[in-house]
Amino acid sequence: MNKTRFNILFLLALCTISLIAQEECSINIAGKILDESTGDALSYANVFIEESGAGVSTDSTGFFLFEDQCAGHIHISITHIGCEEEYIHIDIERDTTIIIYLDHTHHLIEELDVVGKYEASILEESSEITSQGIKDAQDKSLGDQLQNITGVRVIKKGAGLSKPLVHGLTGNRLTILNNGIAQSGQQWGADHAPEIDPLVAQKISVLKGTGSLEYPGSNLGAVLLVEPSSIKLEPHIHGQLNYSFATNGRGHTINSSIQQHKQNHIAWRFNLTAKKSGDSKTADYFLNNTGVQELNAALQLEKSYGDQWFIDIYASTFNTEIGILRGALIGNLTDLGFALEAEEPFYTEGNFSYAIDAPRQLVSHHLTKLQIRKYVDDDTWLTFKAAFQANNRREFDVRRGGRSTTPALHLLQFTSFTELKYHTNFSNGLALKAGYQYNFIDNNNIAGTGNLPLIPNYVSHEQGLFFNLAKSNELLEYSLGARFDYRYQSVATFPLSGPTELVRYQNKFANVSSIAGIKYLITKRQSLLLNLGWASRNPGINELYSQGLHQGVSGIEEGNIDLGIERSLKASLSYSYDNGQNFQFQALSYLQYIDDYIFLNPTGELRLTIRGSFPVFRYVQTDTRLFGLDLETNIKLSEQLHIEMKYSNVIADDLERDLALIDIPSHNLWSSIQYEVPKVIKLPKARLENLKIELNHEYNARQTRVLESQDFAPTPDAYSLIGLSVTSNIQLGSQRFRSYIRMDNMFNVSYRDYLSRLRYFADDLGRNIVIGSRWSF
Amino acid sequence: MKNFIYLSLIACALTFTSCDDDPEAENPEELITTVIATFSGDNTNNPTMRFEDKDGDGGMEATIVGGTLSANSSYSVELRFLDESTDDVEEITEEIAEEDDEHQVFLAFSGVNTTWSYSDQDGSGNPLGLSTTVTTGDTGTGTLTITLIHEPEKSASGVSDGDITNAGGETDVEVTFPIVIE
Repeated sequence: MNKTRFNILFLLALCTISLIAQEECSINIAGKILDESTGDALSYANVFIEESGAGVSTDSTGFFLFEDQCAGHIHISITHIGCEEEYIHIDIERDTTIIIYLDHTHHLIEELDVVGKYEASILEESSEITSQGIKDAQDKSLGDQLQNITGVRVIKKGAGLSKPLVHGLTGNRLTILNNGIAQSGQQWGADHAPEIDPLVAQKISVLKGTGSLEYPGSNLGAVLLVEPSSIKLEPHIHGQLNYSFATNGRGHTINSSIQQHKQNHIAWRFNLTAKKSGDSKTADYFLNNTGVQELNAALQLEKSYGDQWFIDIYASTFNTEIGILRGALIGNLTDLGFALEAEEPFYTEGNFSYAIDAPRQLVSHHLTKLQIRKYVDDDTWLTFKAAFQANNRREFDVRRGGRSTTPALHLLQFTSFTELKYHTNFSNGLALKAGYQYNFIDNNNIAGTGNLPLIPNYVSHEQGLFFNLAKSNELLEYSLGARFDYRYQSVATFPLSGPTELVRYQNKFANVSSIAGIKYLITKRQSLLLNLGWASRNPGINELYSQGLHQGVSGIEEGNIDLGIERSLKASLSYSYDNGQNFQFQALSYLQYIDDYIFLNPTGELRLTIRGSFPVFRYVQTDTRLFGLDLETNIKLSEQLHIEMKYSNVIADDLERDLALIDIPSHNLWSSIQYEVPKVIKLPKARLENLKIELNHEYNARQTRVLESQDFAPTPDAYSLIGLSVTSNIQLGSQRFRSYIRMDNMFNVSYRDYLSRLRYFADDLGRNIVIGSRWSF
Repeated sequence: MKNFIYLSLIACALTFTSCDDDPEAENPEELITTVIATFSGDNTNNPTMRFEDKDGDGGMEATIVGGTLSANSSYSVELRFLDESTDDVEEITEEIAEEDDEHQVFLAFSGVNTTWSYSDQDGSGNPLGLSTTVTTGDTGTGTLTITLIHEPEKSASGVSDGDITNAGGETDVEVTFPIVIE
């Protein structure tokens, strides 16, 4: 048993061959760089010793050699096209040979386990964004970052307000795990973005298949994981400082992380992010009041006691203020009619501003987590987890009498989560994981808004039991899991009919879910993965009890206390092929039936109020079918030239009414051509490594399946966007940087996206140029 | 005080209990339940029209009382907006008059040949519309729609002449009265 159990990203195997001790500065360091998964030699990898400033590239056999190095601690950085930059730290006393394995093979989709490398794996189609990808796009919110993954789109309401939609499902049908803890906030709102800073993560991944049963909440849709890595053993303090500027919105983003892990000391990492941007711009005009401010911090602590006890503490705070386009705030259908007619949104001003006024959101989310793991032996361990979350959401509307500074909605939610999990590997290759969880939610309206609460106060107690079995042999892997949940919910609300009398509801929900997966390795290069999942979801609090006018959607929304549980049956089948050299292909198809799917249905009734007539929408249930296809391919035309393509489409139907479901994206195709310079470019005082130029094209087809009567306006036209990016690692003296320039919507195209709530009012974003640099120390 | 509330809520959550389950009854401060349009002048018919929905959206239906106007006559019209949801009736008109540059009333007649114009102004010299002048034409039946817009763009084209099309803003009130001109 050793430390590397926790060091998942520490993908190095070091073997040193000792020779006799030598003079101080005449040491040779030789080595080989190999692909971790195939064992192939990696040529043109750049190896750099920070202490001496010496840099070399590997030859065609992956070999490198440094001569005349001094004894002592040295830090080596290794970069290679298509890999994450890797750092190692070693003590050198004599001539040394090192073999370094890099995680080079590009996995389009891989099956991975949810918590750590040594847990029983759940067979699951998954895609991920790596640390480098996250940090090179640090100006983007979590939702926008996720959009890089095939099959993931976002529902958005301007900058900073984007919600992921995976395989046609969004909101509380998805589970978002922040550091292994299910994010608990006001996920029901279409304009409530996940309150997570993506920059704390070393990896963001999406489990797209039938979900994981390890977490409370909905198991209907995908699981999104935002995971910091464990802290690498390295006695010195190291870190990164990353700054970027985006022209659209004139946004500044600064992120820094520092860490240290001395043997036998507490390992720590601290992460800080600050963002500020102002009015963003379409191709033709500014979008007034669309600024965003963010200040986030996270502290991660890890300590092991002997070989048996591992303790992890994580605390993070996320704080944001987001402006919402002023012209998108409307009073009634007449206003919406005028807004649809107008060329530009109302209140459009000619000048840029960082000011954020009403309508705006002020949201804070705090998380603390404690994890203790005890190893009984190499194959058996117990994990205890406790987490506490506080979510404070304030939304401000434009109001009369100076009330714009009083929140129109103020919700404070606390969530406590405890879990005990047992894991064991039996001698016959069978792995078992089982656990018990208790989740407590206390949701409160904070008085003083001068508005009737949109959703009620409630307390929810949820207990869950689950198990997962996995087994693999040479050609086949199986997994099987089941989960039982019992939730008790106590609700206190004022009904619309008489806002002075309090009504109480007691809800009890019992759910059973199960999944099964099987993976068949057809050949070494091809595999098939089939997943089946049966899951259910309780009606959300807004679906049961929301009431009143939703200004954003210009309708009266009515909850329905008679709603029952949604039940889903999903099958997903994926095929993957990798010829090991220059061609990879992956296809994922899925079919999901959701019985009693809850959605907001226009009742056809127009209700007369003093602000005019409003259509009444009511939550009802229907039977639906979703099916879709995700395709990905990666083609290497030569060592320098690569092509990557991603395609996704979903077809979703209301089977009872024989209509298409709304808010489902149409065909999306993303293609890119990448030119990479494997050789180091030597400048007088600098070296450019891994220079990469990428030209990409994104096409979104028009959603033609939705009838005109299902929407306030016709669905927007198809659009194409071109983007360009240049990235490189730079060695300047003994300092290492990574610099990037990215241009989105290069030709400043005017377009509107079907999934944007602002499409009734304004165009989407025009050209944006992001320039940034990251210094590693 | 607020910090104390937060702390006690955190303490409750940590012990898995709900200390205070109940939301407080909010008094919707911005609610408008009633619109009164008083027509006066040297005419045979001087109606007072009234829209009333005392329990707010939903619940009981609103009551609407229109009126009969004299043909080919001139009226001065005064508007009042009230919150009658509680016994303590609140005069919202005052709040509107105080924030006159952030509000504007628009009238729209349909089915009848009637014109109107503003007879008041806000602090910046733009129309407000709590007082208007209405001139009726020949006999007929139709409707009068009164719209109160919060934060209109008063400088936009046509807005100061009473054309609502480019006004933007949010509709705080939009009520329609049946009218007869005889």
